[in-house]
Amino acid sequence: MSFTADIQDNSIFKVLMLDANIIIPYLDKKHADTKETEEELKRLREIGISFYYSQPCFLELLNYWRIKWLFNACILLKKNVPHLHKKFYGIVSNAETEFHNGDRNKYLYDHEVKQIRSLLSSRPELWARLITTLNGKMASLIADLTKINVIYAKFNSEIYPLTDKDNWPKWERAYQFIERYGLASNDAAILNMAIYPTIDGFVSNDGDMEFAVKQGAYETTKFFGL
Amino acid sequence: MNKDQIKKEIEETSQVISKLNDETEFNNSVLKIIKDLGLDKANSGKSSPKIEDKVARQAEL
Repeated sequence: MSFTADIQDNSIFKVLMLDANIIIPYLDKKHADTKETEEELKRLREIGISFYYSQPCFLELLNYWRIKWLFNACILLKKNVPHLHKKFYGIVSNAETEFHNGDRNKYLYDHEVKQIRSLLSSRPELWARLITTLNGKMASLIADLTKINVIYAKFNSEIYPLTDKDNWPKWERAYQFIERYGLASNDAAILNMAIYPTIDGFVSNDGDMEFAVKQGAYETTKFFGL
Repeated sequence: MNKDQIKKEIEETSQVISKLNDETEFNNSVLKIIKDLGLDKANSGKSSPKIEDKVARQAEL
């Protein structure tokens, strides 16, 4: 991944919309792409570029962090609690190895989280108590993003309106992205929110997104990715 | 934004991200839960593999 050179050479880029797969490695020091992403974004910040993210992107961030913290709890259970079912240790060990090796981009898949919750249900209160450790973490995430000047793109913002009200995002365009390019619904929603005159470019590390852009979903000269 | 402002902002960003990645408090909370529920190694004799097997079968369904 290297998008800074293209952007640095062109003064028209001032405001970039970031995909979740860029913000996640920027924030999560354990992610395989963290160092590279940090360096790229740091270079862009140095030349005065602003970063924005949209609501569907934020939902992905919340889910990533929910699972990250639950996974941390599972690692501690694996190390400190004997005699849980062997399947629990197997799921956690496998996920730990694959994430560490860069073979998966999330700590646990949703079906694994559900399976772990079931496997831990023999221990009354355990899952419910573990959930309490998430308290406050989701709200603080958006605050932390604001502190580091990665800004939530509010369409009704008085400070930086992305577009006038008549041109706010419409679901119809997201439907078209799904129907024409086979994008996942969350990807379609994220791309939909990157298409505004006030957004100079969109940065994503997603192969599906790149495919859609090459097929005409977004201006190729404004897309930066793989 | 001048160079000093940029430098300051990058330093602050680094601090925020470091804090976000600090797991100490979270880990202590989880370890306390484990201890409170008597699941730590010191209480390992209280486990019941039969219950775990039953739950695992349910999880597979």
